[in-house]
Formats: sequence, C-alpha cells, structure tokens
Amino acid sequence: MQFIQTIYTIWQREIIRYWRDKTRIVSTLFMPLMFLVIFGAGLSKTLATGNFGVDFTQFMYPGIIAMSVMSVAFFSTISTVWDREFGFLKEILVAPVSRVAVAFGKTLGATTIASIQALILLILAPLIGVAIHVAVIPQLVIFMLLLAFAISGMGLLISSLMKTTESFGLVMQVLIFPMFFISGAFFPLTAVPS
Amino acid sequence: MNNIIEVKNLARQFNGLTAVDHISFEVKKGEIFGFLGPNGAGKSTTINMLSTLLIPTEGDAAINSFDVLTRRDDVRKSIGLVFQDPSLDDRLTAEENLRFHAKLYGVPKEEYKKRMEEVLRLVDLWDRKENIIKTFSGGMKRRLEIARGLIHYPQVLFLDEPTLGLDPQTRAHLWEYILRLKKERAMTIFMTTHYMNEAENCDRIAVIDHGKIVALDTPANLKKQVGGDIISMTSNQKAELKNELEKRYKKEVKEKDGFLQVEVEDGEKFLPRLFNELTAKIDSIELRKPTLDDVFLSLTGRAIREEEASDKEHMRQHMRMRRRT
Repeated sequence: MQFIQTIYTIWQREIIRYWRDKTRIVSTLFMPLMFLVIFGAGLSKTLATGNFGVDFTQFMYPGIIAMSVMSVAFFSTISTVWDREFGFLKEILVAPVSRVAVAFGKTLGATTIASIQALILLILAPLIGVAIHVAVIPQLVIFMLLLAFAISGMGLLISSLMKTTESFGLVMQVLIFPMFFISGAFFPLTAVPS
Repeated sequence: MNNIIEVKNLARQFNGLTAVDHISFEVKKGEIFGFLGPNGAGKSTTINMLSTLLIPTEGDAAINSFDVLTRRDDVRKSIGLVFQDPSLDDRLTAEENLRFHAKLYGVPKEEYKKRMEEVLRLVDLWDRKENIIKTFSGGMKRRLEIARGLIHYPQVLFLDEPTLGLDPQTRAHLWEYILRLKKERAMTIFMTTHYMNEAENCDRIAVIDHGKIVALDTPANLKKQVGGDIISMTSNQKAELKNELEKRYKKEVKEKDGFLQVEVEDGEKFLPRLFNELTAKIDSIELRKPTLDDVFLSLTGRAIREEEASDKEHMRQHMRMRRRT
C-alpha cells in the first residue's frame, strides 16, 4: 500500500505545482494554437498546389495535439531537474520509499498534465472548424495517454541524468524537434526519401 | 542498546581525495552530539553517509542498530534530516510540505492532523500553515524544515549546519527549539556546525579536521585540555596584590595592559576564596573561560574561519561527486 501511496503523493505534488503555475498552463496551450495559425496559414498556401484531398487545418490538427502532448509531457519532467537544483530531490531520496514508486509518480504526473492539455485542445477542435467523428474519440484518448506516458518516461530518464535546467532544455530541443518534423504532422511524409 | 549511532572506521574518498578518514564514534540515546570543524572537514559527507545518501568507501555505520548499507529503509525511517541547503518545495504551502513528507513516511492519516499541529506549534508556524513557502523568510524555512524532520517521530534528528546564514536572533530561537526537543522528547540530535558558541550547547563534541576526529569529549572537558580559566584584575595596590597572589596561591602572575592575570583551574570556586582571603584591594575583576575557539586553535594550530559563501560551493561539489558515483 505504501507503494501506491508514494506514487499518489509524488503525483499529487506535480499536479498541485502545475495548477499553481497559471503562466505555464496558458503558454503551453497557446503554443500549439500559434503553430496551427502560422503553419496553417503559411503551409496551406504553399502546399495547396499539391493534391492534398483534405483541408490543411483538418490534416494538421491531430498532429498539433500529438506535438503538444509530446512537448508538455517532456517539459513536465523538468520538475526532477528543478528538484535537484533546489534541493527538494534530497527530501525525496532520504524518504523510506521505493525508487520505482517515485519514478512512477513523476511519470504519471507528467502524463496527466500532458493529457489534460491534449483534452483541452480536443475540446477546442470544433471551434476551430476541425471535424472529429465521435467514434474516434476513445481511440484518440487512448493514444494520447500512451504517447504522454511514453514521452514522460523518456523525459524522466533524461531529466534524471541532467544537472541543470539549461542543459535539460537543450537536450529537449534536440530530441523533440526532429520527432516533430519527421512525424508527418506538418506535411505528408510521402515526399520523404525512403 | 545504549548507543543509537555507532560508527566504525568510516571512510569516504572522492576521486582519490579523502573527505572522511576512518572515523569511529558512538552517540548515546538522548544526547546532543556535535560535529565541529571548518568547512570541508568532512562534516556533511559524514551526515550524508549516515543518512544513506552516500555510500561509504570503507567502514561500518549503524543507526538505531540498523546498518546503513543493508537496512537503508529502516535507517531512513529512524532519522529526521535538516539539510544545510534548503529543501522545501517553495510552491507548496507549509502544510502541504508537511503532508508530502508525512505520506512518504507512512504517518497514518488520523495521526497526521495531530502531529502536524504539534510540530507547527513547536516551531511557532501554526498560523502560517496555509502560506506558500515562497513568502517565508530564511529562518521560517529552517524552522519548518525542523518541523518536517520531526513529524514522523524519528529516533535521531540530523541537523547539518542548522543555523547557517540566519541572523543572531533567529539563531538563538532555533537553539531554544533544539534544547526543548532534547528536554521534552529525549531526542537524540546529531548536528554539525562551525560556530564555536553553538557547539557549547552540545553534550559532547567531536572536533573534526581534514576528515579525522582530533578530539571527542564534553565541551567543558575539551576546554580543560587547553588550560585553566583566566582571571584579570586591576588594583591601585598592584604590588601588594601581586605579592599576595604569588605567595599565598603560588600562582604565576602576568602583567598585561595594566591588568594582572592569573590562570586558575576552577575560576568559579577560586573567586569567592580570593574575595574572602585577599587583603589587597581590587578595583575590578574579570573571569574569562577558554572558548572552543581556543580548543580548536590548540588542537589544529589554526582558527576556524567562517566562510559562508564557499560553504555552499563545497556542498554543491559534494553533490556533483555523489551523483557520479
């Protein structure tokens, strides 16, 4: 039971911290929408010549959600680096609890935060004019959760090796951007050499 | 089971540099045990090893009769820690910080409420429990950390430089709490410090220098090693006074800045005797006890200097080294 309680306690702290930081909530929501507007406007013009078949926003929106999940999940694991820099990690490390539970709590915290963000974007979809069939929503949610969990796990692995938030930020850019661009979220991957 | 901490031949090296050099000591239940030494002497390293944060290169240590290598979780449950650097989550409230800690240490829910109030009242932070830590002063943070270290009712409380960077008033307050803890809870307290006047509050002190314990005794005994108490007097009958002191008490009298100085073994007992028997008149008299500064000086040939900025530097270095291992 202590195992579950540890996971819950660590998770709860991540959520409280997220909730208190309103700037972070707003800016992480703003980023994907900004991408959508800028890329959407720019790329839809240039790609309009190709035979696309669908509306560009419609094509890009799922990718934007996935991208947002990835960056938020990854970024949320920065809390471990913060904890190290501000000494709180020691408080966790001297506690008589399982290290596995601590890692799970941290990963689930980032997963939850990223999923909330994704859900908000999903709810915004009809307002932006993206049509989503009701039947695919459960599937979407499952994939969002899986993606969030996977990226959070990777983020935690990296943040546990980093000593400063600066280096974490850099490594995050290096890892995240290639994944964005080769994911096919911004343009169809048919043009990529195989 | 009289000793709550037992350390045998404990040593730790960092990349070939010896931080702690085969030290051995015991701490009895219910005593305040002080580790006194300059920065970089190995105090924090020792605490880190005793609190399972750092693996010793050599030697054994047991807390509450649990080995720090094989029974880590039992050791962790037995101890409360207040680190040298702050370790609170400053985005949480005081109460949330305590709750986080209590949950990790498995304090039952029903118990938690009672204990939370108890420890917060002990450190006078009860009315600030809903406040975010960011708004707290350095002294309040320290007090809260002590409260946090106590909420799981540890057997031993480790305080690593608990008063570092605090103003004298807060420092005095903090000491009140520490002494109250000892009195009311019979708690064992293991602390490190490089402030001499603080070390005087300890029951026993280990003087540590370059990773070695150079002396271990009560503050009073340590001071006795250095020499006796010094009595300085002025008088307008200086010659008679000097004569009398030399003849009757067989003391060596030194003259310094117009004062007559004698060294005696037990100043408090000597003074009344002196007043009763002396015929020469004294204008003023002063009794000075040797301080732990004198002790450290005589043991190592150096004075302890306070270098607060480099202290943190040092800690960071240790942290980095620890991570590499």
